Amino acid sequence: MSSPRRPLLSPPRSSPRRARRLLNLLLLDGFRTAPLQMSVMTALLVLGGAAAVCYPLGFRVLVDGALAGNTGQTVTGALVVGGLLSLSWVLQAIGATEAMTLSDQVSVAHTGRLVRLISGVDGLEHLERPEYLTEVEQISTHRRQLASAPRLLMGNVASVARIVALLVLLASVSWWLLLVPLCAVPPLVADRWAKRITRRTEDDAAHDRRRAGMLFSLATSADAAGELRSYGLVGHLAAEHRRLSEAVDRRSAREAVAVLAVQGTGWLLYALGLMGAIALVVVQTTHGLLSYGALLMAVTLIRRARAQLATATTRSGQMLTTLTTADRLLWLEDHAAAESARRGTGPAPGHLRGGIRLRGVEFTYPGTEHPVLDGVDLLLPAGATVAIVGENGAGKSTLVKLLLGMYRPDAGSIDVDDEPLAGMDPAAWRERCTAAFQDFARLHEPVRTSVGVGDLPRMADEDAVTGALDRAGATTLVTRLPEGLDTLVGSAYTGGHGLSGGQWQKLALGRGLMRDDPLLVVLDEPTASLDAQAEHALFARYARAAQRGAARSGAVTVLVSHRFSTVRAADLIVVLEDGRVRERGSHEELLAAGGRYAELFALQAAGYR
Amino acid sequence: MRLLAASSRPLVVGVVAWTVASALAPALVVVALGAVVGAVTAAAQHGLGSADGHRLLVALGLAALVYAFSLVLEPIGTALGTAARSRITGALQGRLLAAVATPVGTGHLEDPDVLDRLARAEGGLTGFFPGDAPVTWAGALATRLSGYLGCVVVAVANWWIGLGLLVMWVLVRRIVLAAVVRQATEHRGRTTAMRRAWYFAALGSKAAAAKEIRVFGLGPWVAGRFGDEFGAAIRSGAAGLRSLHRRAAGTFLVVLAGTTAALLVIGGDARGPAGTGLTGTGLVGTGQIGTGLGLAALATLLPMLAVTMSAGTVTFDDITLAWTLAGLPDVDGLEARLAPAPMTGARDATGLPRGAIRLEGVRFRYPGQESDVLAGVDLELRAGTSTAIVGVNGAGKTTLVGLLSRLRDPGGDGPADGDPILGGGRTPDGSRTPDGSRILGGGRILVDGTDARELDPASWQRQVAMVPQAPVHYPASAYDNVAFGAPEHLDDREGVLAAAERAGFAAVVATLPAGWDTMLARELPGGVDLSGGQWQRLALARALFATRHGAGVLVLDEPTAALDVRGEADFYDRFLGITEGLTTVVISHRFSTVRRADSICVLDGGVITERGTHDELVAAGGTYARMYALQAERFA
Repeated sequence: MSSPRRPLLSPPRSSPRRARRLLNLLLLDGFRTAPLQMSVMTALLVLGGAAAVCYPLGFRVLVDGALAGNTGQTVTGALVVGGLLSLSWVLQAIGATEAMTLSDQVSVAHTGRLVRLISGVDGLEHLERPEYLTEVEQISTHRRQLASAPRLLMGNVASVARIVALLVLLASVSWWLLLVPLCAVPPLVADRWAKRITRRTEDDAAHDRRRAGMLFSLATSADAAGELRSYGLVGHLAAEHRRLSEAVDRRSAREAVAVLAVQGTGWLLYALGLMGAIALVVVQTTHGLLSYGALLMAVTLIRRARAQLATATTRSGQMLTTLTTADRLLWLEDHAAAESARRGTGPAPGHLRGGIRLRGVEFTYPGTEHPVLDGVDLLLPAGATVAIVGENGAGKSTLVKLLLGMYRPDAGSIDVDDEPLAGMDPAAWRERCTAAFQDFARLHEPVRTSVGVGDLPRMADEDAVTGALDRAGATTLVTRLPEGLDTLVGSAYTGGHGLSGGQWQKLALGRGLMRDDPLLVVLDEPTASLDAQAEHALFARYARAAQRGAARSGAVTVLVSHRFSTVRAADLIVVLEDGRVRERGSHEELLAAGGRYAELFALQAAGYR
Repeated sequence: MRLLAASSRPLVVGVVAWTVASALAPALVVVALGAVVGAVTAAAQHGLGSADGHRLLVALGLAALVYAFSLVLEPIGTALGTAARSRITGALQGRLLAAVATPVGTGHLEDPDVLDRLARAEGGLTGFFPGDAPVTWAGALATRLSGYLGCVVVAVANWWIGLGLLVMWVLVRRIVLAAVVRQATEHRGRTTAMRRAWYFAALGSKAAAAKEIRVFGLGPWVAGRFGDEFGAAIRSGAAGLRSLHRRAAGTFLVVLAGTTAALLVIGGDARGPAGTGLTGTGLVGTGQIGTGLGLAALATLLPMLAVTMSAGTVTFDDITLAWTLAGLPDVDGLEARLAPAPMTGARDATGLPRGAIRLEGVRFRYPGQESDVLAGVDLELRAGTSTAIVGVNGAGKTTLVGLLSRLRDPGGDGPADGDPILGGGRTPDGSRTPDGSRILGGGRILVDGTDARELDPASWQRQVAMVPQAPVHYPASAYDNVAFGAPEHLDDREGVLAAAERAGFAAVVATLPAGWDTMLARELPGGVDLSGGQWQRLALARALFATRHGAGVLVLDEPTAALDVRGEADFYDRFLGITEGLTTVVISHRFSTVRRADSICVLDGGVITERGTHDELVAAGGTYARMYALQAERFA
């Protein structure tokens, strides 16, 4: 049975509420993040804009004064022009710095918000959906535009102010000149059109660009470097990168020409219109209707109107990108909100009495055909260590993700002491879980942090960290590091200390053993990279700790492993096959039964005979 | 500019032409419009139908042309920018790829300084990409030139005002720009913090750490760490800001005084419309102080004053430019850093080893660390046999095979005649020794009696086929992913199929939606990802394909860690077949895999402590026997 992908949300594109949220995101966020910078920048923009527009007013006073031989008027005119020019000059310089600082601060706020949004969704599904990833990628690519939103928006306010000022001055010359802004229509239309061409090109080239980017990171990463050299692939990948870059180039060049044609036409039409306006004032002057000072002011204003309008069109183009990006961010927010609306609100139990029971649990990954779990009935008894074994693809890891609340069953239920897991707040439940995974994270931080984040409230508690390291068998490893607990691990940063795969895994284990009173402990192939001694010692120690946990709060340990040497000590062994429980029992029971477990055990044991 | 020149000549010509045109345009427009205004006086007296009227109309037409020309310059600039950005980004990344490919080894890619430079040169950290530099630069230059030109035009009418303005603008721009750019680029030295910041952002938004982030509730913490690091990277000094404001206030007064004075002089020289001086044709005039300026001159000079401001203007573009250019020195720097060391060895290694590989007293220590990982390893790998290396976590097993395949060089004693690689304070793998001369390692590796450093490193590397712990996932089809084991033989389909069959990967391909053509990257259309065990099988197939095309040494680093029970059993059943005729080194913690090897060595404390066959070592009752018993007793 195919499980249709839940369609990703498509919220209404425009509504007053949405407009408010956009405004909130784009503008008010700026004020909240950096109130001072934002206010200063706004003031600078408005003031500077006004100064840049109004200085030709001084021309009128100056010229008419000079022509009439009126010294006072001439000086006034000169002071007006000089003052306004100097002001617009200095404000531009200061404003540039303010704007840069502001956009940096806003950018930090946005990215932080993005990270919180993505990591705040309970499930993992979104991280595997190309549509979702594309949205995230686009936000990331256009983060500067998004961060410049406050500047752009306030710039638009300033633009409006400038255009109003311009029109007032023009109207003082002739009412007909109020028609001048109409000339801006062709460039504006052309600009929208050009943006569409650009976006289409970007979409077409996205695939090549992404592959080129992936090849670039691959060829510059330490992890891949050995293989690339031993197979002589360095040159091959560089050539492929060049080929992709050139394909992107060709598209860009075509785009550039098309955009030029469209925008060029727009501006030519605009030039035609404005020259018409200039011709009008010239003719009026020849008929003696205007003074020479007014003529000079009008001509200067009209010529400069282009600067105002050009800024406005550029801004509207940038605004379009910004709005699209903001829209994507809101979409992510909606997605996160919709996800959390499905989440339960109940508290997690203080301790387990009966255990965790799965009834008829079915699960199919969205967009795939084949159910991974197909009717799992299982009790994980309180206080027990339960090993889950099975071949690749049997559904072991999926089962674990369901237990940790990262996915929900399509059918059936998971109950914690008869309380449905679905009714609990996943965050509250996870606070009572802990885990170590085979594909653990390599956290490039000082050891105390890299391990300590396994229990954030006790991260600063040195005893807690050293205790966890001890349980993970990593004490010797840490004492040998040059700065002990304070050693930065991972060699990518100055002062960082490189670790081997097994050493990283020990730290990940330590992280998983930080929480001191969990109800559910998941160990998913926790020893794949460990040496025999470390593996043995770990399980000997762990068995004692698990007993204590079991006695205290009825904690359940779920161990997923291909290593039967570690599995056999479990209280209960569950064999999964094709998404169902095929066998269950203790090691001895299952061996005696002579079923699948016995077969796989014999297969592995044969390697040691 | 040099970047652009290297990638496309026509674009350079275009950008230069555009810069010149953009520099001329503002002054031309002002002059043309000034001519129009100047022609009005005569036309007003004699009517539009007169010769003067016609002159006015001609001036108007000319001005229209000049104006239209000035307007299309902007979209032309945009087009050039788009084309140049794409060109340069591609070319620059190509150069960076070539630079990091230069060193023979791989150590440089773990060197924080190299990583910092790489990140800066690429531009992704700040979001300001070097590809934007030429056109931004040309634009800023054109603006400034147009200002200079404005000064020249003013100087034609009145040389000392023109000169005065020029000096003033150049001076104030210098003063303010220095403060602005310093303020904006202060954190150039804080690249590491930036890299850290983006590391945390990626941690929080990618799938790799997603499970742990959820179990431990780390989302807000990760976001907070991003904010801390980024905040540290962009925090700008308050002192710098104060200095900027002081400079701005001071220069404001200078500019105010200068422009007002210039305006007064020009205005004061003006006489009635009939006055002599600059006449209707505009630019070329004979304006002399005291003789009065005509209307045309006024109409040209006054707006020209505003144009001269471009000579002194400091804008957002200047900051952008400072940022985009900030990474460029790092491209050259990186190339210089990674330039080939006076390299050893030119002997072709094809077909080696025929006899044996011998390690003699091989020592190694990672840069910046205090103890040796390998402290004198002696080991012989006879050609055509398999050797297993066992040892506790962190014993140096992976380092040892890295040295063997010359991804790192032991440095040290070198051949008798002295090795030039020790001279420059740089090891051939590109990593610097901290004090410029310290020897990181020593000993030598002999291939059929020849010091490995006399072999052409690239050629020797190709003799080694590797299955690393974390195989590379190429954003390419399943077929290419296997065939990349020998990229010169991509068309050997039969060989790819055979290798896949031997490695147990053929069964995986059968389950892929598009079979061999399936893209193995979820980010690409129709792409899928494989499980850890499936990637491990693929990596083995890739290595076997390489051995089919000449590689004689097979290195298996934990080849069964991600395989399930059947996969693992299957692997050791095939072990003999897989390694037949190859010089094999296998690293594993699984003794079921290890015991199949012809010879087993125990690496402990940086030296080989035990060596023999499985049976011999078990009988000897040493470390190996103890470790084996620990694992085997659980299957009893």
